[in-house]
Amino acid sequence: MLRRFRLEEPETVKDASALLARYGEASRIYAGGTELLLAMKEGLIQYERLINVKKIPGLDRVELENGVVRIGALTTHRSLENDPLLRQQLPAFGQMERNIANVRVREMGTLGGNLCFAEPHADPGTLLMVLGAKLMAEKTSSKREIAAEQFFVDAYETCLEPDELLTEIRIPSTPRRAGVAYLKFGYLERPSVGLGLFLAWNGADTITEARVAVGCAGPKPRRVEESEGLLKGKTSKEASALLGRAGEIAGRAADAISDLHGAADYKQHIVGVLLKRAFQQILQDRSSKA
Amino acid sequence: MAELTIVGKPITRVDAQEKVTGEAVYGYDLVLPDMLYGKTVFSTRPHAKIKRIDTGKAREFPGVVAVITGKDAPWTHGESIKDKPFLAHDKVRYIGEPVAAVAAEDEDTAQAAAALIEVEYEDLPAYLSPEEACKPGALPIHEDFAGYRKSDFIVTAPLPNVCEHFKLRTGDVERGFRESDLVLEERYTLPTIQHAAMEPHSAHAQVDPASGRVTIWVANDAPFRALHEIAEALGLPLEKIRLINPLQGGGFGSKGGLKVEPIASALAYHTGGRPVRVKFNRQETFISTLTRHEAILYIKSGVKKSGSLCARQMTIYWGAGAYAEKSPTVCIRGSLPAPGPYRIPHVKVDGYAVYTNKPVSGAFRGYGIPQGAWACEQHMDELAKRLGMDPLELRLKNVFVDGDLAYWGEKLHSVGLKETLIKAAEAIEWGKDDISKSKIRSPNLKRGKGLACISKPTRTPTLSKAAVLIDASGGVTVLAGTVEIGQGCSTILSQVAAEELKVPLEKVRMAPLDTDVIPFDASTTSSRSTYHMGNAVRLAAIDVREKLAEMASPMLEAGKDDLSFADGKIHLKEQPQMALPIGEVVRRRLGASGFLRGDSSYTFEIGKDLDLETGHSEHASAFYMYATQAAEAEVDEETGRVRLLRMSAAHDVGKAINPLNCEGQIEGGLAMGIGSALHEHLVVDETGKVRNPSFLDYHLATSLDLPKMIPIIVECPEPEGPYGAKGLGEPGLAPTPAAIGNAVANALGIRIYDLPLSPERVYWAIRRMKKKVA
Amino acid sequence: MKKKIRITLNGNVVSPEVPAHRLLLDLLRDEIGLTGTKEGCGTGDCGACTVLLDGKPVNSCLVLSGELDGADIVTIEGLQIGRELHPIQQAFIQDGGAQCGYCTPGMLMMSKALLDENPNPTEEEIRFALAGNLCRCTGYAKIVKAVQDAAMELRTRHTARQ
Repeated sequence: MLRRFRLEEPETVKDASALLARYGEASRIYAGGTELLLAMKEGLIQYERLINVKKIPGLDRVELENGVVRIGALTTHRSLENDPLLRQQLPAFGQMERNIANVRVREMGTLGGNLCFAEPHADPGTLLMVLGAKLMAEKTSSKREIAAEQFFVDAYETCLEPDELLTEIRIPSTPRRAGVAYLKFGYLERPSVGLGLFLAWNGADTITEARVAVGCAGPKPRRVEESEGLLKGKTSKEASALLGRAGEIAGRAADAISDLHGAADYKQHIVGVLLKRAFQQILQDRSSKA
Repeated sequence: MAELTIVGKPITRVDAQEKVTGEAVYGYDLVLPDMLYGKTVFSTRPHAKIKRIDTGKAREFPGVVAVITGKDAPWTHGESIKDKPFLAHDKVRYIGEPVAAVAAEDEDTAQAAAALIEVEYEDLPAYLSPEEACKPGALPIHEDFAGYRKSDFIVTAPLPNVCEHFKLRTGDVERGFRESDLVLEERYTLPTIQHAAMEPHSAHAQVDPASGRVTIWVANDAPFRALHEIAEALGLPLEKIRLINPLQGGGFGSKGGLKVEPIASALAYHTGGRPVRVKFNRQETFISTLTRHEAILYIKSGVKKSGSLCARQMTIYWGAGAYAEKSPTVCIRGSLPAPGPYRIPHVKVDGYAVYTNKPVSGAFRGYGIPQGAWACEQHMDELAKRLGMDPLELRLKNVFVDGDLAYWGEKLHSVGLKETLIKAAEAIEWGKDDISKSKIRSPNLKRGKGLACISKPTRTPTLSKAAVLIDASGGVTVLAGTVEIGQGCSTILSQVAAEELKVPLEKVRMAPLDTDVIPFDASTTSSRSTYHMGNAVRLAAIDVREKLAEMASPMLEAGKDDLSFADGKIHLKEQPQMALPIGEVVRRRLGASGFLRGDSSYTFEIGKDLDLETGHSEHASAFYMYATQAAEAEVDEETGRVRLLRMSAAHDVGKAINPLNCEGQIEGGLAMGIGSALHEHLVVDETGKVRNPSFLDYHLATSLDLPKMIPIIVECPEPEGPYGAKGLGEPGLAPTPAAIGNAVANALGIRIYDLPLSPERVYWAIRRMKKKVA
Repeated sequence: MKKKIRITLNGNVVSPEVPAHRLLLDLLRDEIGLTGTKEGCGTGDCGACTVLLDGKPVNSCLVLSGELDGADIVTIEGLQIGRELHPIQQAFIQDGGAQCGYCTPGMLMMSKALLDENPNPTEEEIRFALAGNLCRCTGYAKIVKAVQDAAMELRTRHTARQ
């Protein structure tokens, strides 16, 4: 059961930021509420004030501008799952959204809320990292752009300043000769390992860009440059042969924690399996497109 | 037997309409006038002395009506051992034990006040494994155990913390092992799991200040047993207690015994006569109600080269948790048939129910059979492997058949086990593995098939009484103490009454369950209701039918024996047009508001009780349920994930009174069995704390986790049963994990001894084997 | 601090006064007295409390009623069409989709949401849509069958109307 609190309903981002500045740690931004209200119900956190940002207009749009998909922070998972623009531009993202929690959570939960809550088992952060996404943060006096890699500080902790709001997620469209996959593994309701992979090739089948990110297994999602370095500059065939090593490195980098979902060494192993399978999936997609 | 008109038909449930419209009122929904709201404070220590409880701040909190602790509730209860206080007395024995409670004007206030209660503990060493807790030298969790009031069938052992020791002694196992060509010994374990009925637990209670009468509204699966247990604890005569049963949103064994009832009734003594509602939320339901026994099973068998079983010895440790609850009887009735439904000349079983500092264990659908089957049925496959025999063949060679003398001394009849084995195996194309294996998509994937069979007794002897009323409008009311827990008893019993009185089903109504007006029934447990209450309702219907025929005889100017019933009418056998509606007969004789009543009482007499030294009985059970389930599984060797492709479940139900309902029971049992095989584990950490008391982390099988299910109804009639019926509710999940375990072993060539078959566990098992081979 | 909200509940306008922290589930069950919507977990995991909010299925246990001003809410009590059962309700009865019945209201509302969006779902789509609604009794087989049958009935009715 929820304890008492007040609900503020600002109509602009600036007003919301001002409320955050005024009430500090006794307040928190409230959007979809699927994680926040749950944690409050369980008594894990308490706030005197929730600042409902859903009345702020314009934060739930999905648009394509100069090759960048701009997603308003208040867009729900469900609308992202069904968004035709996303389906066309970033199919892997839509697919990832479709597999978050259950339908009811996706109806209420927002992408921005998911990122800001920084629950370690969340999916989107990991995929956004390999997509090269930028997160737009705003407060009363200023705006800034944060690379997805910089956004997560620790479990339940982001780099947002106390009076800053996440307003938009910007994802560059995937180039023609590139592929993206996000795979997750779990046997309880939440995933225990998530892995994102982005690969781009030149006309000679050489991997010109590789991005690997792991999530869910540790306190926060992160890129694994060392694994990326192994794959970059190789042909698909050469890279295939290196996947085992790249997977081991990524597994170690995942900073996996032993918990209900499994022991750290098992999760590490799964990272490797997922990397291999993500790679195969991208190759398959590529050959079926061709 | 006359032709059946409604028994045996797949009719839809009589309670479905109210359930699909949201009109059905469950215990959790119930609002009483002027009701107060309760909130419970739970122990945060697994084993500790209570030094001090400070309730001052809570008492002063505005809106609080009562705050109580164990001092205000000096009572203890328990089904066969009176060891459990209403609220903890001077010590706590598990994290989640109720310690104090608050009643307030609203839910918010009750919660806020409960949070202000301070409890100071002095920690004691905690025992978290039943095997550890009964090692010589372990400290007692119940220092006063010897002094507790106990049922006379309780056998204790000279070991610490053992609250029941069951012994089965048949032949001479040592001789049996000597005479065997092959002897195999193994150890299997199962973790604690939970019922997780969709409706959490709650109870409402009120004490009438003038009369001292206690009324409890609770969805308890055994209202009369609960009434007796509460009356005994409070030292009140039975007539001073009344239980009213709202609808129950599933129970699976968790809602028998006393859970929230003691807290609600203790609070109700302090509210000046106002009713109080105590609800457990999901987390509280997980930690503080009931769990299924974790178990450690040692099994040793001797077998001839021909496959004939010579001897079997088992030692089973049942983790009782902090209080005995139903552990003694789970230990007895789970250990007795644990060696399996086989002809074995030499058998020795020792079952120990052992206290630990963990949540309380008790009845769970299957009542000890799933634990025995997990060990025994995988062990059978290991024997088959060593003998070079097909597992189905080994079973067919040894399973019980009609006329066998079971190792507990009972001559068996109506044994449909072989038919279930053959049908379940056929349904997954047993022996035709090539076809399936040719469909494998990836070299990481391995496929296999497995099966497992069980027999399950029912609690015996038990009593069911019933009454059937016919009113002047021709309406039929059935008074039966069987609780509708979702299993469909209201439909089955309505069918029985309609069948005997030859009235349309719409004319039959089940009376609401109130111990003030409903005749006694032992319990809605042990798959006993269709048989026992089915018989009782049938006899009550026959009783009222006879009375009605007698009444109608002068009206129709015919002898009683010349009358017959059809379509809600009584008519002359020879001239069916000479008929009177049954209501008309009642009206003419008893007036428009009159009714005619038939009564009955049914017990299956067993003569002598189970012998406490040998475990032998000529009638251990009124009937036995037999079942075989077979699984085809695919294992991903890289991740260890087990995916089920299909599962068949063949159950000998005696006679399916309602095949649609039988299928529903089988499918539901399978789903629960699959969950317990692949996912479910209530994790208690090294501090005694439940780590996953939510549906987020305690994973129930979802619609995506389940394979194609093939329910198969086998009918091997039980002569004593109504229309030949036995029972069905419990066996559905009993052989499931072993069948899946056998399929996994068949796929991988690796035996896994512990549940659940989580991807991680399976993966490490594969890795260990690969290392060994390398 | 209480706030007056105006909502359309099962077709009727109601204006309850609610404190900010009151959840929709508690508003429905404890204050308005509609107990058809069930509480199974309170944490959004079981789906027993599913209601339709502006046509979308949501966990009423995780929705603040204070922000519902102007919302349209349909609960199990509003699923019937006039005095007649909705085809999904009819199918659950016919196919044995309800046992203890506690998950049933949530299952029905979820099924309604699915069929509103996808009138002809495959078995896999039904299983996917219902994967967040837990049932401990049925094993889901008969629920899935009921949704398939209801879909067919709804399509037949739709065609008949055209």
